[in-house]
Amino acid sequence: MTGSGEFTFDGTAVPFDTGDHLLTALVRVGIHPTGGGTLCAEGHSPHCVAEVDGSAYVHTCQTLAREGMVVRAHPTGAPPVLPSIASPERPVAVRNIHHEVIVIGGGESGRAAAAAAGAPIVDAKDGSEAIGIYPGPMVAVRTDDGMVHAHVNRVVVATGALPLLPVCPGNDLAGLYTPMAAERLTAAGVDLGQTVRITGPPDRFEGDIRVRSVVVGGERIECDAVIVDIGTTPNEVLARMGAGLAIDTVGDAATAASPPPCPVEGTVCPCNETTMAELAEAWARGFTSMELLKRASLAGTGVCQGAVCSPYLQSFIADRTGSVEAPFTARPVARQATLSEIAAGRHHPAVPRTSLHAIHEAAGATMDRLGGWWRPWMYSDVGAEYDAVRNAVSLGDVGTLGKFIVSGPDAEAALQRLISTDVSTIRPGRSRYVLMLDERGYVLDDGMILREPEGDRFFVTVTSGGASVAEMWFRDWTAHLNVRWMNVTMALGAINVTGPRAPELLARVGFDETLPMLQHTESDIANVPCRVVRLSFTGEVSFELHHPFARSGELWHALLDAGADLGVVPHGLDALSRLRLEKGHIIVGQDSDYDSTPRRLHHDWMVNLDSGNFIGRHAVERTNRLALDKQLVGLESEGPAPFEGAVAWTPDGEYAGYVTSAAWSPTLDRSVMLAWIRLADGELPEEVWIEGESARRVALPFYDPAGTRARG
Amino acid sequence: MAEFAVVRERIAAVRIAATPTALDAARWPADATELRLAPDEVLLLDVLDAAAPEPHAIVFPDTGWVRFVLSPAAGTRVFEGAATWPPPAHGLGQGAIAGIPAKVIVNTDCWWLVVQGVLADDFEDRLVEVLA
Repeated sequence: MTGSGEFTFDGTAVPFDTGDHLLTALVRVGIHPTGGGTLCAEGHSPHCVAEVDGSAYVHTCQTLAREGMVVRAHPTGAPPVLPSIASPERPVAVRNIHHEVIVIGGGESGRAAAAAAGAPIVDAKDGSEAIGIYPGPMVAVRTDDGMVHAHVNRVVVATGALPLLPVCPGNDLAGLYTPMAAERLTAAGVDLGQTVRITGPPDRFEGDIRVRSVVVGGERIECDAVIVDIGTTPNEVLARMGAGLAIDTVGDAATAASPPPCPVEGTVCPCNETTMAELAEAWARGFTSMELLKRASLAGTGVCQGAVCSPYLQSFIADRTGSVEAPFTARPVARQATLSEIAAGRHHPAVPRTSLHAIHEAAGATMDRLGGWWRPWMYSDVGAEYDAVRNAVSLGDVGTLGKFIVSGPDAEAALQRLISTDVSTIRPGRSRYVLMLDERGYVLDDGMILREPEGDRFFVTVTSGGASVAEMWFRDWTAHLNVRWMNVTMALGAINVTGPRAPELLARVGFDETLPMLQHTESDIANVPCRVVRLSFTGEVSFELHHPFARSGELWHALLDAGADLGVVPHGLDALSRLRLEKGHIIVGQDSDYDSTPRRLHHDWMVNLDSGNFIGRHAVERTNRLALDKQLVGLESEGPAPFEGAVAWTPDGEYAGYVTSAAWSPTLDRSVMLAWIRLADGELPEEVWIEGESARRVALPFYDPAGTRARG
Repeated sequence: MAEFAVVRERIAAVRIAATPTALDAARWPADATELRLAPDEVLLLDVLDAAAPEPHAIVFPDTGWVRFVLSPAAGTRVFEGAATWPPPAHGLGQGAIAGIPAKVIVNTDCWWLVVQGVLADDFEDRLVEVLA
């Protein structure tokens, strides 16, 4: 609540009257917030900024004094200390409003524009300050109640003119005021002492800390304060900020103004303490334009964003070239803003949760964000989870898989275009593990294609986190075909029932069909309608149960209940990553890179060059003629599993490649790895060294190479 | 309904992918609320099934949606605080609300905000925050 009272400035109590801005109260007791420099009381001058209640760079002339505020001067010669993340700022609310037109500035021209357009006005005098214009256009407005984001079709900038601040020796003394500042301070009862008004560029100001005299045209005038009335310059920074957007500038902001006379000496950029001498030095080094001078001297990059120095840089250049350059490029924000104000209305991306998320959490799972989803990393004992898969039966939540239904007369042709296999040979009720390549023949994603009994309808899965890209890819490449796509990734849950006792468990809940490997069917399991897909990522007998999103919980619990005496437990990604690695199954994005051809990935067996003109085919044909330079291989080591990304060295100490996946295999009693390894003279090394341990290159998979366990 | 209460409910829905022409001509069950998500896709709320509008259409009973029912005052506040786009005067609008893809259906007596179930918990948290 505003009222008479006290705030502190650097620990000293400062009284204020109702309606005082901080600056008013400070000047009343003889304090200059930054020690010196011309005050404008309009929020343009950098000389009134201070830290207010923990926020730095606050214009004290725009901030109403409140009881108990803590105001501190910025450190001398150093930037203010950033707020600690241990005490985050309070969130700032945002209010989105929509108008055809908005007018920034409540002066005569602004009011006229608003009346003509029937538009609202944003005016700092009314407590709403436009601090930036963004594409849209969207005008960001700071108010006492938080931020307002005004979404409009047109912006009218009617922000008037800025007072020119003097550039000369002594312009860093206290006691210098623009006419507006003097008027406002005097009106608030501040005694400025004996003042003198100057209307032309001063030679210099004299004094110790405070001004004691001003010299104009060689004449010295004694005084307590100087009212610097030396002209104005258009205040059109917001208009420049919105270059290319629908913005009109009116009134004094649109008035072409000649730059002021070029100063001879003094500080031209008080924010960065850039002097006229330094401008001259930069010019001599060849920085001979507004933008170059700005970069070389830092003038214009400080708190006031060029409000003080921009006209003088123009005059400096005009003095040397005879022509006036346009002002700097402007970018949001035009006023200091807190991080909370900038973040107002922003949300971090929401991470999808599978249909079983709450159940995983209730089971005590450690959840992590992987592949763009919240997923259970581990429940309680990764070893027990691993053992359940290898020796009994386990459940895995695979609802994160990208999932699509494809239909239409051209469905097969569409998939044939996208997939490097012969889709026509996938019979109804059958499925196939497939690769998608990009135009350069690099692996974009992998997944499964299932052909439905109808024949012209397919179900396609891709990697977790790959669904959005895959959908765009599918639609882009098949837009000319008579095909329907439906992304059902977030509409289906999926549970992987895996382990040697998986068929026994499923039989207990109503599925007792003998479903061969890579076949699929539809069946009610525990009364939940499921698409049952026979495949294996873990290396054991596995059934993926794709089912309605809302029914995951009952299916999950039914499976756990029915399999309790079979030792069923759920497994998380930690166990799954070890299981699949033992089988040598890759994870696209982890084991593949941006230049991974099927041949480099050791997956060239998945490319059928006789299967038509699939995307990437010509690139594959071309790269197949080149010498193989590196390959994803399997490595084994008796030592501990290295970290993923560990470098592999040849026995001669040459760089050989790096590890993409690694884990200790309980079953094999050794570390197993996938690694990119370079060929030397056309040969892969038989041995590499990783983190001081020897690793042998071995054929994949590490576990059950005949695949008898997966087939069941 | 309390003015700023949020009621969350699962929706029975059917999603249909078909040619735009077939979707344009289709007649849906009378009690369905039709959301035309895209030229080739429609979401029918509050129905369990629908006839295929053409032979190759995909008709998919979709349980993956959640509806939040708000009063008009609450809906207005949500849009003011968490959407950069204006709500429709009536009927369907689509866009991000609180950073999450959402559909809004503006009815006379209430607003429905419909999101995918995988994002519903986050969405609810953010709605509550905006309405607090």
